[in-house]
Amino acid sequence: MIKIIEIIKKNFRLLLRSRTSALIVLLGPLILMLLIGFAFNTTSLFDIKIGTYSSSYSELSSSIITKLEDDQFTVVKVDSEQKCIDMIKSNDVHVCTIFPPNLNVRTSDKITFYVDKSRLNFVYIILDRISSKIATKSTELSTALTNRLLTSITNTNAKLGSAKTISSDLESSSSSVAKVTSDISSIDTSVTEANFTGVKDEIKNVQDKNNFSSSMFTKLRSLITDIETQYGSAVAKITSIASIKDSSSKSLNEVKAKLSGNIQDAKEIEKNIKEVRDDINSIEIKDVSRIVSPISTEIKPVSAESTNLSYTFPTLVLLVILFAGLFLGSTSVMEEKMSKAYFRNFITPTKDILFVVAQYISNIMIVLLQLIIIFGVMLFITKASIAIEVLLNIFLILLLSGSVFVLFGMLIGYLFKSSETANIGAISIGSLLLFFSNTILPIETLPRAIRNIVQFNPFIVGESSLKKIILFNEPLMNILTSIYILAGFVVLLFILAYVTRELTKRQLS
Amino acid sequence: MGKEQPFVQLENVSKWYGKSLVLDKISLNIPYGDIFGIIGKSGSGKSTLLTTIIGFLKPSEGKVYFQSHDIYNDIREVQQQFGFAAQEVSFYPRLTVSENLQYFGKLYNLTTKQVKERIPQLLKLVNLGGNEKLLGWKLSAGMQKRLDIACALIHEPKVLLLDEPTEDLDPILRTELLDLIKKINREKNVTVVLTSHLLNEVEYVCNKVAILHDHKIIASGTVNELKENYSKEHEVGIGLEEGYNEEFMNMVKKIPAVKKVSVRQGKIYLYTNKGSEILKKMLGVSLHPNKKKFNVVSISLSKPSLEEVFEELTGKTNLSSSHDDKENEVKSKYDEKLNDVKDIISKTSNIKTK
Repeated sequence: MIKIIEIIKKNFRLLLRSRTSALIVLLGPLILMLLIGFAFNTTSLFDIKIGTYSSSYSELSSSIITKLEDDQFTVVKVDSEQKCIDMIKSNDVHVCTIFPPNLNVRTSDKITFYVDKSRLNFVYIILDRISSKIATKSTELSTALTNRLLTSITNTNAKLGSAKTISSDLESSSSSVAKVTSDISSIDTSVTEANFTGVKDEIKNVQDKNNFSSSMFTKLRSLITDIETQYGSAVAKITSIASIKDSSSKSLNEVKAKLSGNIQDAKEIEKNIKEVRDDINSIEIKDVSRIVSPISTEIKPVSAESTNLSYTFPTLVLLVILFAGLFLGSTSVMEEKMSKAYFRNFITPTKDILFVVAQYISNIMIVLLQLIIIFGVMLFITKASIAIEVLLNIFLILLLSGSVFVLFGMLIGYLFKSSETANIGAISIGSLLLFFSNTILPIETLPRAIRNIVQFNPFIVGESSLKKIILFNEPLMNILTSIYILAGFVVLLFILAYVTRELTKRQLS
Repeated sequence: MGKEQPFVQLENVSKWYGKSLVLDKISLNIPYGDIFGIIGKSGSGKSTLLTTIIGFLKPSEGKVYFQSHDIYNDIREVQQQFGFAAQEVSFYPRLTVSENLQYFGKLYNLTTKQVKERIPQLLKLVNLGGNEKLLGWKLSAGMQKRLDIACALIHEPKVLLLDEPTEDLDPILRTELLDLIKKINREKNVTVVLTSHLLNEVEYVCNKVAILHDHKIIASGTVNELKENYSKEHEVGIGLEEGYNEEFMNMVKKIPAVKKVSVRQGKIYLYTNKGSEILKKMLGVSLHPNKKKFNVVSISLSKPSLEEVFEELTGKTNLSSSHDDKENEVKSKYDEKLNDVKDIISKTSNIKTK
C-alpha cells in the first residue's frame, strides 16, 4: 500500500512539474465545460433570419409576418422565390417562407417553407418555432371563423322565432273562414215553385168568357194566397241570408284584417329569411377542414431530396479530417520532437521552414488519402456521380480545411512537451471546434457575441462550404469568403507552427 | 590551409542562459587537421561550446570564425562544412542505416549520385559495411555511435565535432571508436574537435587540448605542452608481471617522495617530484635478489598524465570520479579486465620464453 501511495505521489509530482501538462490536464476540461456551459445554457434561438417572398402580400400574409417578427426572428422580404432559396444556401437566411399571392383563408393555397435539410438538428428546431407562431395565427383565424358561424346561427334562431305567431293567427283565420263557409252552406235556398199555370188558365177563362164568376175568383184568390205564402217563405229565407251575409261579412272582415297582419308577418319572415340567407351566404369558409386549420403549410428542402447520408456527408467528412488532422499533426510532430534525429535536423544547412512545410505536406497527403477512401466508399454506396468541376471544388475546400486542422495539430505538437499532453490538447481543441459548430447544437442557440466569434470556426466554415458545393452545387465564386477565411487560418497557423518550432530549439540547447 | 593557422577560432565567446553564465569569454584557436580535445567536468559548458561552434547557438558575446569568416555571415555554408555528433546518437531509429545516411545526405545538399557513392565508402570507414538495411534501433550501441558519426560525415565536412563520443560505451567499444576518430582524421583529413571528461582518452587521441573549467578555458596547447607547463611532478610507471600486487602497492606508498599511487591500464603509477630517485629505487627493486616477489617487467619515467595536469589546474582530485561514479566503475572494471588479459599474455610469453 505504501508503495502504491508512493507511486501515485510520484506520478502527481511528475504531472505537476510540467506546467503545461498540469494546466491542460486540470484546467482543460474545466475551461471546456465552462465555455460550453456558458454558451449553450439557453433555450433561445438568436438572430434567426426568415426570408419571405410573395408576389402579392395579403393582409393574412402580412399578419403572419408580423407574428414572426419578434426577438428571435428577423424577417427579410426578398424579391423572388429563387433569391430566397439562394439566401438559404448562402446562409443569409435560415428559412424561406413563400406566401401564395393574396393569401387568405378562403383559398386552399399553402404557405411553403424552404429549409436546408442538411442542418437536420436546426431545421426541426426552427420549424417548430415557426409552426408555433403560425399555429397561434391559425387558432386566431379558426376562432374568428367559428365565432362567425355561431353568430349566424344565433341570428337565424332569433329571426325564425317570430314565425310562430303567424301560424296561430292563420289557424284563427282559417276557423273564421270555415264558419263563414258553414254559415253560407246553411242558407236555405229552396223556394216553393209558384203555380202560375192555374192563374194563367183562369185569366184565360176570364178572357174567354168575359164572364167573371165567383168560382172563377175563388180559385184565383187561392192561387194568389199560395203565391203570398211562397213569397213569405222567400222573404224569410232572404232575411236569413241577409243575417248570414252580415255575420259572414263580419267574419271575413276579421279574416281580412288578420290576413293583412299575416301578410306583414310573412313579409317580415321573408325578410328575415333573406337576411339569414344573406348572413349564411356571407360566411366565406364553410369547409370544415379550413375552419379547423385555416392556414396550410408545406415544407420543401432547398436541395433535391436526398438520403440522410447525403445530408450528413459533409459534416462526417469534416469530422474525419478534423480529428485525423489534429491527431496526425500533433502525433507526427511529437514523434519528430522525441526522435533522436530531431537535433541533427537543426544543424543541417536546411532552412527550418522546409521542415515545417515537409511535415505539413506529409500529413496533408495522409489526410487526403483518407479522404479519397471515404469518397470512394461514399460514391460506391450512393451510386452518385459527381462532375469533375464539383469534385475539384470539393478537393479545394477539403485541402484547405484539412490544412487548417493539420497545422493546428502541428502547432499543438510543437507547443506541448509530451505525447500525453499533446493528445489531450488535440482532443480538447477538437471537442471545442466540434461543440461550437452546428453538429451537436446549432450555433443559432449561442448568444450573439459568442456566435460572432464562433462563425469563424474553421469546422463551421469548411462544413458550410462543403454543403454548398455538394448539396447546392454552388460555384466557388459563391464561397469565396469561406475560402479566404480558411486560407487565412492556414497562413496564420503555419506561421505560428513555424515560430513555435523555432522556440523548441531552446529546449534542445 | 597551414597546419598551425586557426581553422576555427573563437574570440571572447560568452553565452548566457538567462542569468546563468555558461561560457565566459572563451578564446580558442583550433588548427586545421588536428584532433582537438576539450576537457572539463560535466556542466562546465563543453556541449554548449560545441553547439556554439557549429552555429546552433548564437553566442551572447564574441565571435566564432571559420577560416577567418564569421560563421553567422553565412551559417548555411558553415553548416555544410561542419559535421556534428552529439552525446546521444541523432538519427532515425526506424529508418535503416542507408536510409538515414541518404536522408541526411539530402539535407546536406548532396545529389542522389553523391549519396549513393558515399554511403558504401562511409559504411566501410565506420565499419558498418553489410548493415545498410538494418534498422537503426536494431544496431548495437557501438554501431549506433558509428552510424551517428557516419551521419555527421555524409557531407564530407571539414570539421567534425564530437560531444563526448565514448559516453556510455564499454571500454572495448571506446577504444574502437577512438581509433575510428583517428582514422577519420587521418584518412578524410578532417579536423576533429571532441569533448570528454575521460582524460586518458583525450590524451590518447588528441593532439591539442583545451581545459574548460568554471566556464572558462584555463589552459590549452598540445598534451605535452600542458604537461610541461602545468605539472612539476614526474610519473613513474611500473609494470608487474602479475599486473597488480597489493603488497607492492603498500610498499611504494611508504616511500616518502611518492605523493600518490594509482593503477591505470594494468600499470602502477607513482607521482613524485623526485622522479630519478624513485626510478633508481624501482630499478633496485627489480634487481633485488628477492625480485621474484615483485616481478617487475617494465619501468618508465615520464611527465604525468593529463589527469594530473587537470588536477593541478583545477585543484580537483579526480575528474572522473568526482563527476561520474558510473564512469569510474566502468573504468576500474576495464582496468581489472585489462590486467587479467595482460596477466594471461605475460604468462603465455613466459611459457614461450621458457
